[in-house]
Amino acid sequence: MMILVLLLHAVCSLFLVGALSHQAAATWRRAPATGRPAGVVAGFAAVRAPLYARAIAISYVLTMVLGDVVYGPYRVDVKTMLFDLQLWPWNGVFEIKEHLVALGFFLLGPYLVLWRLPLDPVQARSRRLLTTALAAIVWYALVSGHLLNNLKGVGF
Amino acid sequence: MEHTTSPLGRWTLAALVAGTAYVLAYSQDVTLFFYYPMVGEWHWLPQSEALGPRITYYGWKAIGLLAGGVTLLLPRRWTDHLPTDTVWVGALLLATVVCVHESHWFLK
Repeated sequence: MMILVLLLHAVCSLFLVGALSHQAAATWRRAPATGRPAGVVAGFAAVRAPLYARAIAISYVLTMVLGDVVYGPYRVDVKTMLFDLQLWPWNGVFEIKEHLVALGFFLLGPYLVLWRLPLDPVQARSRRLLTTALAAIVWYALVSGHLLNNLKGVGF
Repeated sequence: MEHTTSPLGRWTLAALVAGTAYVLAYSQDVTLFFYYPMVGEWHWLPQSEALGPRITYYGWKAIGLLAGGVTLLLPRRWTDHLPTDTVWVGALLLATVVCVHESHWFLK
């Protein structure tokens, strides 16, 4: 059962990292795209970013809650092993992950306000940098979670 | 620096208060409740080590949520003129505090 939750957690985080990366890239686009994007990079950023916001917020909460469920067995099995083997940097990697994810969760309120239509041009810089910060948090969480799972998976 | 009269100020302040409360709670090891995953029990106070390792993380997040929720009750005129950049500057500051606070794991 816990492996299923872990897999769901991973799938949700993949969706989240994809959506947030597209949205963050769109905020760095120089001018609104007209017609077909010229290349892969332009196409990656040429999304209707405001439409992503609510799905991203829901996905973020869902991914975090699934992570919270997995955290119980992680605390018993994996964290204990990290301490027993004195793998302190790996524990640090996870500690940073859990704290950044919590901070990102608290930032979802202003994030949703910033993406409310019609978009306020005065808030463009805050929208860009907050979305990018959230994307960075989610990327860090995904990569660190994957590496830690390689070290010792929950439920195995 | 631009100012805003949208709900952004209120939500920004709530997010940053929640984040600050969370960081203070975890750095001072203060939590609302404890969860013991080996026995599946929740407790308001720390229990015997016989119950196995405890989780304080959920309690820290609850503290953050409560602090943020209370901040949302503040009169809107108090937060209407918060600079819009406050949200990402505050987020970066809190993330930096977390990384500095956790750096000791990499220095052992």
